[in-house]
Amino acid sequence: MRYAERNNGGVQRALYQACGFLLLLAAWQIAGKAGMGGKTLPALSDVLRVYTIGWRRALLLRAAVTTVSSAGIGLLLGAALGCVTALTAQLLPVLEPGLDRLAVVVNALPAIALGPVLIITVGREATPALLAAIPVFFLIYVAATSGLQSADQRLGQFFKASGASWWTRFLYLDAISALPALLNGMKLAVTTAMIGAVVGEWFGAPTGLGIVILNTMQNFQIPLMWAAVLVVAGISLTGYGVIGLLQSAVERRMA
Amino acid sequence: MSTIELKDVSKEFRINRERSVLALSAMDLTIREGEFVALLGPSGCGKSTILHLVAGLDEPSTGTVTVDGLPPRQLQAKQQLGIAFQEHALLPWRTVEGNLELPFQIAGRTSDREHIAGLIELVGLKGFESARPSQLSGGMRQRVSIARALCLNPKLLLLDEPFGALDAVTRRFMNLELQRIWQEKQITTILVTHTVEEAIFLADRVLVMSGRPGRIIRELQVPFPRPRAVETMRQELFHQLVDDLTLSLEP
Amino acid sequence: MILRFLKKSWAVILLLLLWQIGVMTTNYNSIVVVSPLSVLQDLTMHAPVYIVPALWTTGFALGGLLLGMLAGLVLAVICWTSKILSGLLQSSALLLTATPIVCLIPILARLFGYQSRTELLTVAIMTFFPSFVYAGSGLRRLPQRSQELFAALHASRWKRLVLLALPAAVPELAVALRVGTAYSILVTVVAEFLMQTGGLGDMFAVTMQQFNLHRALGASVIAMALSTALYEASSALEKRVRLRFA
Ligand SMILES: Nc1ncnc2c1ncn2[C@@H]1O[C@H](COP(=O)(O)OP(=O)(O)OP(=O)(O)O)[C@@H](O)[C@H]1O
Ligand SMILES: [Mg+2]
Repeated sequence: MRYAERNNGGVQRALYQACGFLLLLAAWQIAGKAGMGGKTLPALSDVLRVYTIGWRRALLLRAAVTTVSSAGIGLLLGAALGCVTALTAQLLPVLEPGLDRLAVVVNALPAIALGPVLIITVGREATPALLAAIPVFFLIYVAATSGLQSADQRLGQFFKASGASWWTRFLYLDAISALPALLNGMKLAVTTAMIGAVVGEWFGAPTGLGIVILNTMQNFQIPLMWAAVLVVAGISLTGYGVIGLLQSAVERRMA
Repeated sequence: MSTIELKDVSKEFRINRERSVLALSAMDLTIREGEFVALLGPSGCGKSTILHLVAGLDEPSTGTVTVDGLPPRQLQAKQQLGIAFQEHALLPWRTVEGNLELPFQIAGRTSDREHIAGLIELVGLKGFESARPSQLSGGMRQRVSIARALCLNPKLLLLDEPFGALDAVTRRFMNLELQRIWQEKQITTILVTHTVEEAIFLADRVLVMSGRPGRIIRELQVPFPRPRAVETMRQELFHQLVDDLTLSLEP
Repeated sequence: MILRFLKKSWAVILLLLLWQIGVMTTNYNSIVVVSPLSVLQDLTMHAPVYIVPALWTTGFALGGLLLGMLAGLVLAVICWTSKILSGLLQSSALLLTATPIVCLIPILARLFGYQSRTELLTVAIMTFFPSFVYAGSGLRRLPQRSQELFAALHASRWKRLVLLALPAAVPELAVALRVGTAYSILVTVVAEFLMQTGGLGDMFAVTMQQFNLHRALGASVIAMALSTALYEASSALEKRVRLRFA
């Protein structure tokens, strides 16, 4: 009976969420039609019409592929660096305070200052990926560090008492207990990587959604600009959802 | 004040889509007003489940549970239920004193500082008023949780292995104190315990349950007069009863 | 004292050293790539120039942070009281996280004007989400058996909120604060850069146009230092809260 109730609750919740989503879209449509945001906020239908125009769709698709690959590379690079750094801090606790501060400082590098420097040193194509990697590195470092420390203390004592080596303990306890926190970090990192890639493109990448947003902004092609923003949001949301599903599967397994 | 009746109660827990656990089946039980009943039984036989049903925290799958002829929720509403959980369930961010003030705050009454101080003294935690649960030992936390159950002078006291983490000496002391409190107020009490001696020493009636699904397989009316002292435990009859019940616990 | 500083900062010092060596060994155009020593020189020689913009940026970052955190908490509490509202609001909030707010700064500026209030709004929107998400999960992460205890005492909804759920959410709110502070200065600086409304971002934009690269990088160094200090302060706060609440 309990199980059925919970299942029912899930369906109900999804229904409410869908309703909320539709309400939001409806509000946008009405606000746009009523001209509440002036010319900057077109009705949703006007934005969606952009996707029906063939050459614009092709433009957005091409731009999306570029941005997604930059964001993807940034995500992987940042996540790998974050995990390695967190592991280093875990293995050599002396280094931890220094690495903590390094992560914070690197994350605090303002993109506006870093962008021009990267353009010169690594080139236009690589800048978006690197600017995406930096905040991802920070997020994953923080998530992995707290995840690696999240194992139940009693279990840690049990492993110690059983004479487990660092490696066994890591493999059977720490790495597994770190998974939920790590996935939570990854979930947020997807959006962060997309933002990093878009902002990175503003510093002069040849193509990409960031360039589309910038150009349409300057040429006042407002519906196309919103269409590009929606593509960015859609991609982030998809990544967020996929990792969220993975996370809830892991959490269900570990509860 | 509080007569408890379980009629043909069973409780089934769903584990997942295919599997479910029958924790209790065909339970019939009546507890008189002011009676002290102890529940003995193997781990996982449904003792905590019974307490949860009587407290109105869970609904039986079949059958009815009533307190004074009413559903247990009525007792909740009158804040006349004292319950100490198997897991101590203290709020980690409150001090010992703060945790004892909680029932008053929930009930919307002004907290009776003297009463609280008395309870802290009773459970032997004087000097630890401003300690937080993480700074206490397991047994100390249990004692706070018992004190909390007594805060609002309940009509019905439900204790789930309250002395599980205590050493023998403190345990005996707490047993004597519990008997004293109980005799003063004659609160209807259900005590879940794994210690046969404790059950016989404290209770008017001891119920022995079988392994899952839980059923009552043995009932013992304790013959010792009250107040019982430590000497009671040295009597020949006491030892006989302990041996007897221990035997019936074996599967 | 010095040892403690070294223990915390060795990696940052190493990074700066690598930068210095990189600038000295390669010969990139010095208009764009400057050595950390020359930036430091400008910082110490002309320190007063930086003070007002730094205060301005800090003020807006903290103001926006406060606004966003408060809005997130209020909304999380509203969601806590009603399943329907929770469902309705969750999807909108989710959409808001997935939307790259920084990309929206130009649009927000158009909608709300090239004014400081837009700056405040941007930071508030950025920090709203962590607050909403963490407060939401904190309100539900209750100590073992505490719900049964409150049920057994027939606690009202209000009592459950004030005595149980809100205190239980405090550690998660501290996390939200830490996550929010990590963004607040950065987002404020980008908003100031794009809208030129004063503060360090504005200073960066103006000095960049004058090819005064030392000053521009000086402004970013100040922003970094502010961001780092705020983040470390909120981390320390979070640690203390955790100790108190666990
Ligand atoms: N919420 C629940 N969901 C699923 N199964 C449950 C739940 N609560 C209890 N059970 C099952 O019901 C049975 C009885 O549980 P209960 O906690 O009442 O045992 P107990 O007699 O108190 O045991 P112990 O002496 O170990 O505390 C157990 O087999 C347990 O698996
Ligand atoms: Mg039990």
